[in-house]
Amino acid sequence: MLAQQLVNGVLLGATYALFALGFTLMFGVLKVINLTYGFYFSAGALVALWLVRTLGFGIWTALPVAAMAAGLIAVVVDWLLLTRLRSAKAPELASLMVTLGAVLALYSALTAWLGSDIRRLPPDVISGEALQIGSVRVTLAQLLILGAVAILIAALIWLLRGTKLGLAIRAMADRPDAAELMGINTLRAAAIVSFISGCLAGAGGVLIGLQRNAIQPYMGEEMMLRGFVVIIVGGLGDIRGAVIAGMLLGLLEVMTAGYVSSNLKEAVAFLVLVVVLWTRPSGLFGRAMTRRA
Amino acid sequence: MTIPPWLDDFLWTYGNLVHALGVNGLLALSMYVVLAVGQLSLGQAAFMGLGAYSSVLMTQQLGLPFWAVLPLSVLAPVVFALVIGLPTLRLSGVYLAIATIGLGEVLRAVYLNVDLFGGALGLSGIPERADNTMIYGLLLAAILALWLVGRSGIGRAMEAMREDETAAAVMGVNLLRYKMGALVASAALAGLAGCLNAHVSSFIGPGEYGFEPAVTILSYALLGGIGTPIASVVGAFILTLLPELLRELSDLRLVLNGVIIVVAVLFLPGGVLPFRLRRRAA
Amino acid sequence: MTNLLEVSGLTRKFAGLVAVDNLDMQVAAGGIHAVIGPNGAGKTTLFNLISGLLPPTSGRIILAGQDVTRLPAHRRAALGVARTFQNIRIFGAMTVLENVLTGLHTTARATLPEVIFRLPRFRRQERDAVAQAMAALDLVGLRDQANSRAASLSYGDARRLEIARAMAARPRLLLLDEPAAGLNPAETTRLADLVRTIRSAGTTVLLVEHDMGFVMDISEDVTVLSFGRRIFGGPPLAVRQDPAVIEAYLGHKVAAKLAAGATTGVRGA
Repeated sequence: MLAQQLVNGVLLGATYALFALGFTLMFGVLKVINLTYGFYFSAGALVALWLVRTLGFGIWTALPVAAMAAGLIAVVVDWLLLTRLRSAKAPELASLMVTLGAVLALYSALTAWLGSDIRRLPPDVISGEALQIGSVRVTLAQLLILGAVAILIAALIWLLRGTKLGLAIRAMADRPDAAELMGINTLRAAAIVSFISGCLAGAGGVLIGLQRNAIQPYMGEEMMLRGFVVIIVGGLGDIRGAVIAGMLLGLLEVMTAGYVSSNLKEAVAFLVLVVVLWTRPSGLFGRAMTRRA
Repeated sequence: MTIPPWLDDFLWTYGNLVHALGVNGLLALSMYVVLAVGQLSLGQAAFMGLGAYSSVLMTQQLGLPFWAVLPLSVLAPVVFALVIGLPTLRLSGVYLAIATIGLGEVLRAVYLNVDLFGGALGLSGIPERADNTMIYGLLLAAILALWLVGRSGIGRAMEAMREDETAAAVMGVNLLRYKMGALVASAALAGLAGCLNAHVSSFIGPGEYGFEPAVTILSYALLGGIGTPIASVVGAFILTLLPELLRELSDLRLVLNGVIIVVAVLFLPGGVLPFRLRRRAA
Repeated sequence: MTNLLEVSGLTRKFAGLVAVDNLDMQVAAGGIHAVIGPNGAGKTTLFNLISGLLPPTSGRIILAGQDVTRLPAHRRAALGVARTFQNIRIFGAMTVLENVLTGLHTTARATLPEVIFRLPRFRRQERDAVAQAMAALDLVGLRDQANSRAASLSYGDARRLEIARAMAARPRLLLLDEPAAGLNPAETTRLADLVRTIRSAGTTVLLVEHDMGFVMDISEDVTVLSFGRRIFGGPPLAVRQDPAVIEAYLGHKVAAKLAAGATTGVRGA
């Protein structure tokens, strides 16, 4: 029982971590809580659904294509909405409000177009086989998803730590003005960061849509609360913090549902958020900036 | 004398719209108070929901009279505002925004899953205890009070911190106290709006207090502008009437609200009524 | 003479960089005290520490015998610490008068009900505040522009408005962060007169300034900072002759030139 719960918790936590990765990257570099983030998640899942159902793609080819489509949407949205505010050095709440308005418009337009019905991928898109290890049962799909999450996280860390592009992105995150002076094209870098974040969100949407086998326009919005909790608990802009916090949240939710009450599961994330804000507002690991007013 | 069915229908629809205008005006004011100190709360719908659910429970379960229920309906929203505001208002503004969005999401889940709140069906059979006199009386009182406060040292301090928190602090403005005061006042106003709305509509459900209403309330204040309290109420009136006048628009009402926020922030930072209060009580 | 402000062992670090390093400094009550030093010497950080915008890493700040080290900015304002900023920070959307009224925030006593119901105490307070604000505008010569939008002021007028706003509540200590920056010689002379007037009205002035002529002209006491440390403290005339200051502050070339001039000056006196 406990072993199964732990495994379920890790699996759930991996999806939260995946969702939060691009979100925290966006904040860390572009300094904006971009509320349209959840939309790229929905967009990725819906594009993959269309690719698989209408064009007959396999799920593993649909995944990168859908992720890139979500990344492109993210670049366009960022360019349309935030370039102006960024160059005017507008207060952060202005950017927050713009993305808030945009995400409401995007979701409602998408719902008006597609309806809010839950759509499903064809059942044969991924094997339903399960592994039994002792008392723990894991489906092949779950393992594949966990592997994909691990690869995406590793790829992101390699990109940031091991490449020249990553160096530029980190310079922008730490000292945006200095980065500009050093000859980094911040407009291009913003587009690249938006693209990477959008891709991560889109990939997350496909994988989580696959796991739950339920895809609808508002699915990204429903992830946002978890996303907020993970990026604040992990420390705003902290990639590794987000991964650890995502896992912790997943475990905590599964344990709460298993041992306390399944009704309380929905409130766990929020309780964690409030407790962390009261006790450790700079995140559990305290490395990221506190951003005191 | 019998009322013909078409007139009855018409009055029924019209009556709801009149209620909605007043309630949305109050909600716009509750948003105005927070924006006026340079903060962003996305918990206005959640505070409204807390006022609505708690007041309906007081009416239905405890059998309290409405003159007691109405003032008590501010309690739950204010307590939640304190719990969320005290830690976040010391930090940069994004924390309050995030925590209040979170509050809305989690309360929706709580209403859905806890029997006391009636689950997805919500609470129904609410007696009609409120009326237009109460709604519009409160709206006028709130406008007047906010107007008078705006034209005083308190209003000057609020505008100062909205423009430049550091300079305001050096002038002696206690930033945390003002932000907290604004958030509490805003939660109380939203709670009252929720209570009044519940007691004119006979039914409340978890879907009315989620993310979309929260953003819609923000669009009221941003469309009207936050230079004066009346501007935000005008914003609420416009956005409440528009979908009624242009029926074709009603499907795209939320798209419109979202676009209004984007356009207001990017191109119309003062709203459609960009006048500001003179901050002198003379 | 007693000290209005005493700073001891004051240190502020930013991520490894020490902006203010174990600083001891006294500001005499009723004087004009200048803090000078090359760019990055920690002058503005020092002002932020004194006005309470930054908490120190260690050390103590005593204002008129009271330890204010842990007090936030708004509490220090209430104790009589006022300041201006290097990059002028007036409230652009407000009128000139409203800006100065904001400077009187600490004098307000009326409660919220008194404000809403316009009770006598509130009305009296508001009347007094307007009178006091107009007096502060008189001081800097901006009375005629009381009802103009602050953002429409010229640069020099905006600087004077910021001083009027800081002076409105008659502070004990006025911190001026580069008040002469960007002013022409005529404006600088007016500023010097204004600072002297402020001092004779009983406010102690502590200022950071790059304009050496201005500093030498009006200050009675000079503290020189370099890399967050105090390298000199004393009367302005002595500053010019101090080898450590000349070296740190002016650099070799200028130092040689100025040393000659300073010697002549002293001989002449």
